[in-house]
This record gives sequence, structure tokens and C-alpha cells, in this order.
Amino acid sequence: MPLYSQTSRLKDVIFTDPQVIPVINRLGVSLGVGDLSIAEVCRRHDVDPGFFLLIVNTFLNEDYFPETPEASRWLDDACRYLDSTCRYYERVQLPNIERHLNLLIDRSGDAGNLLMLRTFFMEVKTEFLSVGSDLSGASDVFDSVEEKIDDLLSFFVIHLEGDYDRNLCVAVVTSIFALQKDMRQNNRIRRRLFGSNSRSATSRHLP
Amino acid sequence: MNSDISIAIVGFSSLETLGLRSLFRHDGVATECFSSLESCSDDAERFDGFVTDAGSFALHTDFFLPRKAKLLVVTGGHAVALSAQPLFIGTDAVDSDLQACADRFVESLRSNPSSPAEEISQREREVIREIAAGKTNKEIADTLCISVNTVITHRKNIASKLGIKSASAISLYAMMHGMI
Repeated sequence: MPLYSQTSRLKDVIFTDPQVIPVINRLGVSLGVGDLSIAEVCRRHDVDPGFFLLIVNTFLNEDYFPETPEASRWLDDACRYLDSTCRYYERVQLPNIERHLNLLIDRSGDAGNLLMLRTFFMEVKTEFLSVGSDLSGASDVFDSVEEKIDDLLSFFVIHLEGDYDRNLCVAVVTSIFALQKDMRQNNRIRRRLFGSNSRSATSRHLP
Repeated sequence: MNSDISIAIVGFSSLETLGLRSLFRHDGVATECFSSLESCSDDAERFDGFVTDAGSFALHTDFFLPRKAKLLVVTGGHAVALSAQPLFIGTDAVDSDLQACADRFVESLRSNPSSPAEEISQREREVIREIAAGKTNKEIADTLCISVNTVITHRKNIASKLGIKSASAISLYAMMHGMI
């Protein structure tokens, strides 16, 4: 996948990769981007275009990460971005999955193993919240949560049983997939920037 | 005629077996009868479905629960459970319900490919139980008298077959399938 540059139109980035929408939101840019280039959008929202591109390109390209001296210029910005990412999971994505899951259970005649899957989801949520408010948190906990989100998806895709509401199930699975993708990419960003001990690294850099 | 579905009828008297066989006269369905699970368990993988009584089911949950999606349990009384896993049917149910249950069972066998639970070996099942008990790889190795590397290999195979890796998820899977 080609890397985006400051002259790329942000609307083209979004049309090509809509999963980037929550990422640019967390960077301080909302939808309604007009026909502006990334450089122009960043200027309007007072965002460093270099950092914006670092995050967007890293998020969209599994194999991409700029050389350390370049990336290290934005450690403070990266801490703030990862902090807002944690808050986004905590306040938006996890409650969204929980709401859909509860509705799915309520509307499924035979809940099958859905009740057990909700218990597992609540365990994952609790584990995340145990460090979620602690900025970018302990790396091993994020890795553990990421692994459990993968497992939760496997339960739905491979092991789901019972007579459930298929439309609501799509909503649940889609929202878990979105969280999985987002979390995996942001964990990668955190690992590349801060290594294995992200908590101590972030505490040094945040104001 | 070649059959595409093979059903083992396990644990019934000759008279009960005759009655059950009469319910499975569907095209492409073959039945074989066994007086006990022991007489068919060595060759169990060639069967697409199993019909057994409540007593045999309760005695052999280790065998039957991982195969619950391909199981019909015959109980006493009138009750019929057509959407549960396993399916249940009472010996005193009316004729039309008995046949509807047999039809539903054959239909579910035709539409359900083998589940991942059936691909788990006996040794992997033991490792799953130990993981669910909260043991470390070293403790599992000591309990099962195998090396830590063998435990790790089993865990990789379990993850590959079931798509789950974390100890919590494996514990949940064990609960769902009656392994603990």
C-alpha cells in the first residue's frame, strides 16, 4: 500500500480506508474535510502534519514505521494520541460492544453460549479498564487484552451456538473487529515508540 | 444405495433399536446399532451422528459433550427439544413429534460439518483441562509426565484448531464443552 504524503487529499484517504476515521478523530480532525490536502487540514486544526502522517501511515501499513530519530521527535504527541486512544476504547468502543451484545442476548430466543461470551467480554473489559486510565498503560496488559479480543472473535466466528438474532450478531462482530484492528495497530505504534515498557516511557514524556 | 449420513444408535435394547431405526428411513441415511459405547468408540469418527439414551449420555459425557451438535438423546416422558444441543426426545412423545425430531436431526447432520471440538485429541483435551485449572506449562508437564516443550506444542495445536490462545478463553471453552 502506498504511503500518504502531505499533498494527499484527506478525503481520498478516508474513502480508501474508512477505518482511519476514528484515528483522525483522535488526532483532532473531524469529518467534513472538504477537498483539502493533509497539510491544509492539519494547518486548520493546528496538528503537526509530520506526526499526523506518522500515525496514519503506520496505522494503515503493517510494515511501515519511520526511522527512530524521526519518530522520536513526536514522543509527547504520541503519548497524547495513545492516551486519547485508550479513552476512546473506554468510552466509545467497549460500551458500544457491550450495548450490542446485551441487545443480542435479549433478542435471541435461545441465547446458547452468548451469556458465557458476555462474561468473557466483561473480563476483557475489566482488564483493559484496570490500566486504561493510566495513559498508555502496561504493555503486557495491552498484549493480553489484544490476545483476548482475538479469542473473543474466534468464539463468535468459530464456536457460536444457539438460535441468535443474526443482524444484531453482525453488529457485535463488526464492532469487535473494529476494536481488534484499532487496538492491534495502536499497540504496534506503542511498541515501536516505547519498546516493552511503555508506562515508564509515557510518564517521562507527558506534561 | 450409498449413504451420505451414518448414524450410530448406542445403548438400546433390540426392540428399542428397531423402533429408532424406523425413524431414520431417509434417503442416504444408514444406521448401525451398538449395545454400548465401548463397542463403537474406537471407530467413532466414521459416524456423522449418534443416538443414545439418557443413562449412556450421563455415563459418557467426556465422549458425547464434544459431539453434542451431532447427538440425539432419548429420554423418558413426552418432552421434545428440537432447538437444543444436543437434541432431546421423550419416548412417550406423539408419533409425529418423534418423526419431526428424527427429521430435524438428519437435517442438522447434513448442514453441520464437524466441529473443532471433535478434532481435539484426548491428550489435547487433558492439556485444556489443566490450563483451565490454572496450571503453568511446567505444572502441566509434571502432571501429565511430558516435557514442557510437548506442552507448548499441544498448546499451539489447540490454538490452531480452536482459534483461541489465552488461558481464560481456553477455560471458557472447557466449560462450554463440559470438560470441567
